[in-house]
Order: sequence, then structure tokens, then C-alpha cells
Amino acid sequence: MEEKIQALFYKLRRIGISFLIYQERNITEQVKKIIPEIQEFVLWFLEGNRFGIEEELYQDMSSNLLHILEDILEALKQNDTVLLYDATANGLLDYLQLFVELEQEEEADDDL
Amino acid sequence: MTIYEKNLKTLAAHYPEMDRRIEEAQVESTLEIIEEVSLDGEKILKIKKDDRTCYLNGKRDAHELAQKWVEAMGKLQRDTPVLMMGIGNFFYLKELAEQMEKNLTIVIYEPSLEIFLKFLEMVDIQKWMEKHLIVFWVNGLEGMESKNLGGMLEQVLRYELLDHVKYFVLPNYEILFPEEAIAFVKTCRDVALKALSRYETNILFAGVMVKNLFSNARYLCDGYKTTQLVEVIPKDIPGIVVAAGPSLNKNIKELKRAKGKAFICAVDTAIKPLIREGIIPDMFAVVDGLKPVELVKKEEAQQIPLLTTLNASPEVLDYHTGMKLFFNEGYQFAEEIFKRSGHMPGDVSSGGSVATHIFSFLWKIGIETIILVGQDLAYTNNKAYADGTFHDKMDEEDTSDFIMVEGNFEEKVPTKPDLKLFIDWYNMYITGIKERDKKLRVINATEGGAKIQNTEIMTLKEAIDQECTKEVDIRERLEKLPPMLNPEAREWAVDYLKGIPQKFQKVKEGAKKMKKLYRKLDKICDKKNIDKKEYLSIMKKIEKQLKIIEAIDVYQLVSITMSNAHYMLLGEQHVQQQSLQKEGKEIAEMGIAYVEDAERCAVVFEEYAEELFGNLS
Repeated sequence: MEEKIQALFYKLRRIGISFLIYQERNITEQVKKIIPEIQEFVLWFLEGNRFGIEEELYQDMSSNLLHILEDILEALKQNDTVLLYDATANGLLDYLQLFVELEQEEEADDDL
Repeated sequence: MTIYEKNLKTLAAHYPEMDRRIEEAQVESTLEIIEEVSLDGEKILKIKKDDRTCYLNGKRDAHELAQKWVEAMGKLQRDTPVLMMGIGNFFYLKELAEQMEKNLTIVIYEPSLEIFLKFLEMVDIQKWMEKHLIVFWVNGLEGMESKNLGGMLEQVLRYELLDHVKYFVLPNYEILFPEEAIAFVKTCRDVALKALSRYETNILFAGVMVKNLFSNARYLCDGYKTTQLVEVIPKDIPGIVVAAGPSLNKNIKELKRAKGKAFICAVDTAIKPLIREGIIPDMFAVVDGLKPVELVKKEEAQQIPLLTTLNASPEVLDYHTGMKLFFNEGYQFAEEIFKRSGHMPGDVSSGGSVATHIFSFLWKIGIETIILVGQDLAYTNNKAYADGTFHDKMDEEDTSDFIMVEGNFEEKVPTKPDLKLFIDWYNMYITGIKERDKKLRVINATEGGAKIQNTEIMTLKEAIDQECTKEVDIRERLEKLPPMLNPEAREWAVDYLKGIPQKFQKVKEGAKKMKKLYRKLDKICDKKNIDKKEYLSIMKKIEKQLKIIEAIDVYQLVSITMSNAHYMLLGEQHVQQQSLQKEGKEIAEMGIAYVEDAERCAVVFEEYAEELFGNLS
């Protein structure tokens, strides 16, 4: 799963940069293509608290993640690029980064 | 006082009447504005329009889009025009205005009056307005129709700034206002193209122009003013613009029937074909500085009244012996003479071609129905001009890679970018007139070519049958007019023109003084530690000396001729140097080059003036 998360993280980051810096406005089409990967990540996250975090925090995070997914789907429906960027870059990407960073940290730990 | 009221006051302080326009504007509700608070605590907008709902800011991070946009642009030079569509996410303006140094020119086009009004409620704009030149162009406010946006942008998009311009459509505006977004981008592109074309034309004509001006200025002493025609040409007869497009071949013979029942004005290139058909127009026009006299070299043409400009080909004016009509073109020395005539000032819009000049002239003298003939503005049947203009039989050209535009009779016709500019000019000009003057009718009787908006399309036969119903002897009416200058004013004008060489001597002397000042500046900047006081003092002296030269009325001619050098200077102003020393050296170097050119011009022009005005009597 980690590899998939990492791949999704970089794809979303690239889409975000192209929107933000290069004014690429057609990001809905790009995000549509990776919707199955996004859904897979969300389902995986919601399957259960296997991350060693407090249950209350996990529940809040799960609920927030569902809001993010809702926003992504709504943005795709409305062709709303601002909401789509916001939900992915300031929402989903934060979640993905947790695992990307975790992985990097773990690698660093292994090196020690 | 609410933020909205304060903003109205701020806007009114920068743009008189703006507050009234806003308060009197009629809001036509085409969308719903939903206000929310973002997760980072900012008021943000969501717009519901045509069954679609879109955010204008991020609901989690309201600032990020704008912050990153401004960061990505890097440092902008002073005067850089930033053209933005949309103000619904005001953080774009906030970031731009606050992060950038002073003096940007920010033009904001907002297609929705409702969003603009909401924006005025949300944030205080006073500090930003004081720091930069900010222009709001809002659909729905009086005088700010989107079709007039181009005219305003022309003031902003000067050639020397083209490299620096930033265009931006706020995210989701292209979704919510797709037509307006396309029109905005197209307008920006067209205006930039125009600025480029105007600059290139300026360079080409600059050298030729001053020589022509002096040569033609002699004719001002016995010339006529276009505004004099208002008194003698009846408004209820049609004016006919005879251009030399390829379709003129189809209906040229028909024009015979209009003679004596209309005011027929031909472009220079149409003169020969008309005379060959036995048609003597009531007037013809020459405005081009490079037009060869051969185009009008026909004995019959010599006495036809001529509408012309001071920078038209002098060969043509010398060949022509009849009545010459001039209009105000803004040349300071000529304006002095026009003032002495006592006649109403009156210009003619250029539009870029001789036919557009005639069109504007006819409207300005009060003609209510204008008929266009031979005004193809396209390569009808793949030809550029009518037969008998440049050649007896014009060659067909390969138009496969030409722009295609809507035709009068055909769905699409091929045209070139310069002709497309004339089409755009007609569209804009006629629309503008019709808003003020409901009586104007424009009949396009070209019988081919490109479509011009707001014109009635008919054959020339139909147009003549319908409109040319009243007899009028134009020649007799024109012959009654006295020249614009009475004998006393004429004498003054002759003396004034004879005094022009001395004015150039003054320009020469002023340029020499400036050169000395620039050299001094250069010397100051050689030192390791620049004396800032001395630096500023010399800059002030340069500025003062420049003002003295600029006050000499013929200096304008020097500056026009040097548009190339001037461009270099203007362009340089927009590149801020890293140090005062570097900046000073740069200014001195460019300044010396500039004044040396100015001096050279003044010497040459003094000679021209002596040669052309010396024997005036």
C-alpha cells in the first residue's frame, strides 16, 4: 500500500503544482483518472485504526477524510477547480503525506 | 462608515463619478452569491450560476492560490500592467498590491456587478489604491460595457510594456463566465497586437513624416478646414465612401447614377478606375505618406477637392491644384495655425486606412446615411484591389493561409491581419456612434467582402434607388467656401512658418545643454561613493532642461521622429537597476544617445524648414 500511497501523493502534488504555478485549468480530467486510487486509499484508511493513534483522533480524521472525498466528488461534478485543488492539496495530500513522511522516517530509523 | 461606503469614497477620489455609477447601477440578478467562512477564518465566496456552484477561494485555505500566484510571478518592474479577470477572490488583489513594490498598473475586469458590489462590502481598498494604479472595469456600470474594454486597455498596453504584461483569469471565472473569459483574453491579445502594429508603423513613417509635414504645411495657408463643410453639405443626402476593394469592379458603373444626388468621396486608389468610368467624385482622400503620385495622376483629379493630412504624400499634394481640406491632427505647430482660422476644431478618426478616415469625416460633418462601396476588407475572389488600381488587371493571390472572417454574401472570406484591424475598427466605431446618434445608417453596398456589424447589406443599385433621391450640386456648394484663413491670419501663418527654423535652433541649444548635464551625471557615477545630493541635483536639472525643450512647439516633431530612440529610453525606465551607480551610468549613456539624436534631427529639420518655408509669401 505504501508504494501506492507514495505514487498517489506525487501524482496529486504534480497536479497541484501545474494548477498553481502553470495555471493549468484542466485538473478535473487529471483527477478523474486517479479517482480509483483515491477511493482505494480512503477505504484502506477507513478499514480500521491500525496506525496506533488515539481512537477519538482516528474517528475525527476519518470523518474529515470523508468530507474531503465528498468535496472532491462535488468539485468534479461542478467542474469546480478551486474546490478540487483545495480538497486535494490542503486536504487529501496532508493525509498522504503522513504515510510518505512515516515511510521516510522509518527508512531513516532503519539506517540508524 | 461601513467598508462599502468607505470604498465608494476611495473610488470616487480616484475616479470622479465612480460612486454615482455604482449607486445608480441596476443589478440584474444572474447568479447567487453564497458567503462562507473558510477553515482559516476568512470570508469566502461560492457562486451559484446556471445550475453550477463554484468556489472562488479555497474553503480550507483562502489565501493560498493568490499567495502562490504572486510568488510565482517574482518581482514585477514598476509600471508593469497586470490584467486580471475577476475580483470575487480579493486575495489576488490583496497579495499583488501588498507584496509588490509601488506603481503597478492593475486592471481588473469583473463580469458580474453583483460580485463587484460584494467585494466592495468585504475589504477596504484604500491602501492598495494609493499604492498602485488600479482600474476596475465592471460589466453593468455606466460606460463600462465589455465591448469598450479594448479602448481602455489600449491606454495601458503601450508597446514598451508589452514584454512585461501579466494576464490572469481567476480560477473558476472561465467556468462561470466562459464567454466573457474568452472575450477578455481575445481583447487583451488584440490590443497587444494593435500596439505592436502601431509601433512598427510609427517607426516606418517617422522619418518620412516630418519631411512631409513641412512640405504640406505650406498648403495650410490657403487650405480649408473640414469643419467648414458642416455648413455647406446637406445632412439629408447620403455620403458614399468609395474604396478600392476588388468588389468595386462589380458596381462601379452604378455610381454614375449617384452623382449629383450624394456626396461621393473616394479613396486615392479608386480615383483612376472612377475617372476611367467617367465618374468624377466630389472629393477624394490621401492620407498615406508613401502613396505614389502615379495612383492619382490624372488631369481630372487635379481639381477634385482633396481631404488630406499633413503627413500625406507631398508629391500628391504638389500635383493637386484644387481645394485641400485639413483637420486637427494634434501637431502643435499646425494647431497654432488652425487656432488663427477661428473655425471649430475638429479631428477625423484615423481607423488606420484612408477609407476609415473618409467614413469618420462624413459622420463628423453630419451625414446621416453613409454608403460603403468597394470596402471589401477582404480578398474577395482572392484579389487585393479592384482592377484598374495598381494594375489594369489585378492578379489573384494564394489566400490559403489567410485568416477567415464572416462575409457579406459568403459564409467566410479570406483576409489579412491589417484588414481585420479595420473590420474591428468599423465594428467598434459604428457601434459607438449608434449609441449616441440613433440617426446614423450605414449601408454596406460592397456586394462582397467581409461583414461589418451594424450595417445594412444591399446592392449599390438598391442603395442608390432608395437613398439618392435629392438633387445637390456639391461642387457649387464647396466653391462658395472661403479658405480657412482670412488675409490677416494668412499673413500671420506665413510669418509663423518662416520662424520655424529659429525654433529648431533653440531645440539644438537645449539638446547641447542636456548633453553636458548627462556627461556630468556620468562623471558623478564613476566615483566609488556617489554623492547622492549631487546625483539628485543633476537629475533635477536634466528634468528642468527637458521641460524647457518640450515647451518649444516644434520639439514634438523631433520626439516623433525619434520614436525608436525614445522607445529605448522608455523601455529602460521599466528595468530597475541594481545600484544607483549602475542606474546613473545607464541613464547618462541613454540620455547622451538621445540628445545627440535630437540635436541631429533639429539640424536636419532646420534645413528642411528653411528650404520649404524660406520663400513662402
